[in-house]
Amino acid sequence: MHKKTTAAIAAVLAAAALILTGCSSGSDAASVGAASTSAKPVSGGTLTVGISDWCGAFDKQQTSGCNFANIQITDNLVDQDPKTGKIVPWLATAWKISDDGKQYTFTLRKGVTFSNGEVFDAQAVKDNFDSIIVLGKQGNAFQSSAYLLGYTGSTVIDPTHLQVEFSTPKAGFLQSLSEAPLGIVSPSTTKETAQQRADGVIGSGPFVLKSITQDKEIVLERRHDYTWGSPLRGNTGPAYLKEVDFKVIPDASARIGALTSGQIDAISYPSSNNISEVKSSSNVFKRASAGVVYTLYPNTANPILSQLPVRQAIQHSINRPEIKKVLLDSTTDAATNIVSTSFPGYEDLSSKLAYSKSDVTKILTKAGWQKGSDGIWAKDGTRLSVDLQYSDPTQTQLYELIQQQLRANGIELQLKQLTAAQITANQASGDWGLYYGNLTRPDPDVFLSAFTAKFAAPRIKTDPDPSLAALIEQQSSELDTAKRTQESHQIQERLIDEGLGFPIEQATSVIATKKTVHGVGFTAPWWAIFGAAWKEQQ
Amino acid sequence: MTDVLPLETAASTAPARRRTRTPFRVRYDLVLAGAVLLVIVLWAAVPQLFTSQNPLVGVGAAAHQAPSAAHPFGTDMIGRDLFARVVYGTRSSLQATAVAIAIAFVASTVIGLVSGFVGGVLDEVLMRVVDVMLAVPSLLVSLLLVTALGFGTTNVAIAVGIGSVAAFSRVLRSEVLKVRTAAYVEAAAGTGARWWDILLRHVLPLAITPILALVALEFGGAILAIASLNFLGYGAAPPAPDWGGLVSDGRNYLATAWWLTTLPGLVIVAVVVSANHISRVLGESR
Repeated sequence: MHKKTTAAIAAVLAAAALILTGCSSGSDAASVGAASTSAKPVSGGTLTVGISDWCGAFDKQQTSGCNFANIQITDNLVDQDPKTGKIVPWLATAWKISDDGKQYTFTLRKGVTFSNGEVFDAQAVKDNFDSIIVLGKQGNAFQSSAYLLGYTGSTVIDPTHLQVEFSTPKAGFLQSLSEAPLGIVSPSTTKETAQQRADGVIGSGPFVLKSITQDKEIVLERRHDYTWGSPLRGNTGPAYLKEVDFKVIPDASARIGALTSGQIDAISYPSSNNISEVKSSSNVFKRASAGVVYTLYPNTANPILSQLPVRQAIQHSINRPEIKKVLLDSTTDAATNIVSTSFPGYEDLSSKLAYSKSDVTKILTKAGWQKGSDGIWAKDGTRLSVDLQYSDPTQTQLYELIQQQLRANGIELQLKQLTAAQITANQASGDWGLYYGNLTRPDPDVFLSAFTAKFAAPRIKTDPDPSLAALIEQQSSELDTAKRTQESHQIQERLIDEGLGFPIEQATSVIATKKTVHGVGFTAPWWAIFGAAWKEQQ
Repeated sequence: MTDVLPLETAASTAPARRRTRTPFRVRYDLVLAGAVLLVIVLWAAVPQLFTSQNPLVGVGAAAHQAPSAAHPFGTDMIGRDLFARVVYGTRSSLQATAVAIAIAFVASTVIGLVSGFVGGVLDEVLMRVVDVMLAVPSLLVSLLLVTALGFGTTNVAIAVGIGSVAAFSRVLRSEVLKVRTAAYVEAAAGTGARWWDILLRHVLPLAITPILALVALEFGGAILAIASLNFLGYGAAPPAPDWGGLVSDGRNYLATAWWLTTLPGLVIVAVVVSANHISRVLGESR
C-alpha cells in the first residue's frame, strides 16, 4: 500500500514538473516553421487579434478607450503624420483658418459614403459636431466635447463647404480633428440616443462592425467600395483583410500562449517587459505613444503630497535608468520628460529627472524633515509615507522596483491593489496618494486634459499651481506656432520641477503577430490600424 | 522519525485493528512527507537560518537569472532571490492556513453540535444553510467573501475558513446524532445533568474525533485554496512574498524564466501532497 502511494507522490511531482516546463518550451518550437515573406500584399483572410480587455461602448465620440475596433470604423477630417506630427488632409481636402483663430472653413471630399449608403457632406459633419455638444451636456462625451470647447456652431455653405465657429481661438482644433473621438459618424447615427450609439455606430471607415459578442469577441468586415483612405495609412483602397476578429484574452500569458501556439494571428500588449517571450517567433509592430508618458500622478490635495519639497524629493528618488535596465524590454524606454519622445515639441529633460540621493536629502532637510529611526523621513510626527493604488497587477514588479528605490531614499510607498470601483470611489473622495496612468494626444492640449482641474477632475480637484494652469489654458488659444511650442516647453519643465507628475516609462503600443502577417499600422497617438495589414495565404 | 510515532501509538491503543506487518518496518513515504512538512515549518519559524538573502530588496544587476549556486531558485524580474522569497513567504502562507483551519474548526464545531443536539427547527434551518454552501464550490464561496472583505492575507484566511465550514459541520452533526442517542448520554440526562454539561462532557469528546482527521485532510486543501486566492492577487500587499503570489508573478515569463513559476509551484505541490498523504495514513490507521 505505502509503496504505491510513494510512487503516486513521485508521479504527481514529475507530472507537475513536466506540465510547467512543457509550457516553457512552447515558443521555441513555434519559431521553426516561420514562412518566408513576400513583399506584395495579398487580399483576403481573417486576422484574429487577441486583446486584453473588453471595451464597452462602441462609439468613440462617447468613450476615450476601446480603440481597437472603433478606430477601424470611422474616418477623420484630417490625419496626423506619426513621424512628423504634421496635419494632412483626409476627408477634408483643404481648410482656411481666420486670422483670429476662431473660424475654420473646410472643403470636404466628394464621393465618400457611409457604410449604410448615406452621403458624407457638410451637413453630416455639422450634425456630428452638434450632436457631440448634446452628448457632452448629458455627460456622455468628456473627451470629444472637450475638443470642441467653445464651439458656437457650424454653417453649411454648400454640400462640400462647412464653416465652424468658436468663441475663443482654438490652436489645437486641427489636431483634435485627427483624433478618434472626432471620427465622423453617419447622420442617422447622430440622431440616435447615447445608448443606441454605444451598441455600434455607422462610419465611413475601411471596416464595418459585423458582430459583437459581449465580453468575448468583436468581428469587423471590410468595405469593398472603400477608396478614400488616408495616404498616410499605407492603403487608400479597400482593406486587404476580409475580416478582423478581436478576441478578448485578458491574461497576458494566455495571450502569448495563444499566439505562439498558432491559435490566433496577433496579440496586443504582450505587456511592457516581456517582448522576449514572443520576439523570436513573431513580427513585432510598435509605436511609442505621443502624449503624456506613463506617469505617477500625485494627489496634490493629500496632506503629504501637497507639499512641494516632498514632490520634488520623490522626483529625484526615482532611478529611471535603473528601471530601464532591470525591467523594460527593447520596445520601451524610460521617461526622459513628462511627454514622450514622439510628442511634437518634445525636449530631453532627463537632467531634471536625474536620480540623486544627495538632492533628496538636501531638499527634505531644508523643508524640516528628519530621518526617523526606521530610516523613513518624518516631520512633526508624520512619516513620509504615501500609497499607490492600482487594480491591474501586471505592473506590480515595476511598482515594487519604484517602492525599493523610494525606500532607499527614506520614502515609504505602500502598494495597494484594489478593485477599479474602489479606486474610482477613493479618487472621488480624495483618499489616495499616487495613481499610475498615461494620456495620448500629440498636441500640447494634452496638458489641459491631464493636468488641469477643469478636465482632470476628480483626480485634480483644485489646481495646485493656478499660474501654471493659466499658462496651460493660454497655450491652447495661442495661434503663433513658435510661441505655442515655447509655452509647451515651459509647461513641461514646470510640471517636472513642481513634481506634478512623476514620469516613469514611455507608453508603447505593441502588436505581435505571426511571421505571416504584415503591414499593421498605427495612428499618430498610438492605436493599431489594420486597413493596410495583410496575411500570407497558405 | 517523530512523525512515525503517533501512528504506532494509535495502533497500540487499538490492538484489534493491528495489521499483520512487522511493527519496525520504516515507512519511507511517511518519513519523506514528514521531512517535507518539518522543513516547511522550520522555514516559517526561522527563515533566516535557510537563506542569507534579502527577500524584499533586489539587486538590479542580478535580475532574471536562472537557478545557480548563488541563487538556488534563480532571481525574479527585479533581482530578488526567489529562494529567499519562497522561504520568507512560508510564514504568511502557513499562518493563513492555520487561521483558516481554526475558523473552520471552531465555527463548524458550534454549528454541528448545536444542530445535532438541539435538532428540530434550528437543525432544519442550519442544515439548509449548509446545503446552500455545499452546493457552491468552496473556492467560489471564498472568492465571493474575499471580494467583499477586501485584499490581504488575513481576509484570504477568513474567506477560506468560512468556505470550509459547511463540510465540517455536516460531518460533526452526523456524529452528534449518533452519540446523542447512546445509552450513557441518556443516562447522564436521567441523572439530571444540565444540557450543556452533557453536550461538552459526553457528546463533544466523542463526536470530535472524525473532525480532527478531517482537519488534517483539509490542511492540504486550505494551503491550495489560499495559494489560489493569492495567485489571483488577493493576498499580501507587495513586496511581501507569498507562495501563490510568487507563482502568479512569474506566469508572464513562462517562456523565458521557467523557474519563476515552476519552483514555487513545486514547493506548493510537495507540501500539499505530503500533508494529504500523512492525513490519509492517519485516517487508515485509526
